[in-house]
Amino acid sequence: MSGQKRLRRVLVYFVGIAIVMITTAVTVPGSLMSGEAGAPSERVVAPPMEGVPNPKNGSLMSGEASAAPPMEGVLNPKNGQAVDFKKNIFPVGNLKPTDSILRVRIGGKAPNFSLPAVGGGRVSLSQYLGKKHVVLSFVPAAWTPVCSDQWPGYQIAKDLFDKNNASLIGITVDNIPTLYSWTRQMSSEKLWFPVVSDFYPHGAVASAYGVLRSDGTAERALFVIDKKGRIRYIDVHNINERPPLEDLIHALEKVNK
Amino acid sequence: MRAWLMRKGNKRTILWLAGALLIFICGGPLPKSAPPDSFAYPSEPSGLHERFPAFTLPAPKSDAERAYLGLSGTGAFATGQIKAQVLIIEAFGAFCPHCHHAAPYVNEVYAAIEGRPDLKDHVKIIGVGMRSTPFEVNLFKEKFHVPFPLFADNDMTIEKLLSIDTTPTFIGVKVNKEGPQERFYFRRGSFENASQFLSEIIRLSGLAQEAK
Repeated sequence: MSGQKRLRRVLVYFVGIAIVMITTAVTVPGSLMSGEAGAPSERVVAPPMEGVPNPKNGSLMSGEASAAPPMEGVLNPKNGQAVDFKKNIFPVGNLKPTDSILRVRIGGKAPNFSLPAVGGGRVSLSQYLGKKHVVLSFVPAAWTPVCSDQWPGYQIAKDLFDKNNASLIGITVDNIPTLYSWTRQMSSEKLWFPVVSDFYPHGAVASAYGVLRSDGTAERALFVIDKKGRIRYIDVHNINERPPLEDLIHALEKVNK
Repeated sequence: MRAWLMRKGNKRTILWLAGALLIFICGGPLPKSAPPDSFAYPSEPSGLHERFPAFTLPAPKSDAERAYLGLSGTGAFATGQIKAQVLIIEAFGAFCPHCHHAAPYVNEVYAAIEGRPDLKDHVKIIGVGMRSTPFEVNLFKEKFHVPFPLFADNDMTIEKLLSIDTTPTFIGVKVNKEGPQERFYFRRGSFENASQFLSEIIRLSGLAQEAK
């Protein structure tokens, strides 16, 4: 082989290797050549959930294995600070405030539904007819920001719902196992309101109300339905923000007059 | 062209280039799995040992709470007007389940301070409700029987000023005649041992040494 040919082949090999290295650097986050030195360590690092002992009873925080209420004393062994479950919440970023077209109106009849509930059995809107006003609270998805704070707030507002002769039904398009885990960490006590799954057929109820977003999640929407089954209040809220509680309570007070 | 392709050396070269191209095609469209940087959760305490920023709050409606803070007027007040050597600020969310869990333990801390003559007039607690309306803060106060003053921060002014990214967060501030000074304590997340928490506050604030 002549020297010129050998040189050309070596050159081609180098070009090939360079292409592989550039490709790796572009597609693998945190690689040395990614140009994001230091960034990976700044990103969300899940706190050590599994096998973290509960200082009260020594049990492990791993779902059913723990006999303690889900919220109890989980301390990070490294710094003694509480492990914050919020850090496990996936950051969704700022989303388009609303992304659907309502199919119901104030004064119209609320579409009935029958959906499986986290606590077992099914919950239908018609069960409440003639008995209680109903607040339907659609939230976009389990384990996401804002949603994870909304229902714990309703959990402590039971008296305000009772005072207005109203009940609450929480709905998401997640499946029952997901909703089971998610709702269990919301409170050390059982949620006082049913949480139902609009998972299959996916988002059928959200779609009937016109609050199914184009990505398959639901809007952050509140509907107040009176005892006669008529819709009296609609708040399809900016998905990035939690609706103020007082707006809902004032709407309930009007309905209950 | 065909003769050039069939040459042994050129075949190897083509294979190399094809392999590199394949990796590039397969690797190119992979989504980045990490969340956006803007949502990274900081791991270090924020503003520790830095001077505490000044801000104002509306005076509590309750006479007892105004007396607790040592306030005479009913309008807005600056945190520097609170009569204390040490101020504990709980940044909480009225709807945050971790704050609900922490509430009884924070109440315990308050009771322990009020029960100790050496601390009673020197250590004060206030709570600021991040992204919570006054209505929601009031619900939190009633539900958890919070005995110390709570304030709403629904417009996120104080949240931004104090760099709060988690609730509950506890901040300890030394106060002197010129108002709040150094942030000596910063804790993200709740606690269950009220006496341990209070001991840390006393030790890190320097109140323990003053007592000696």
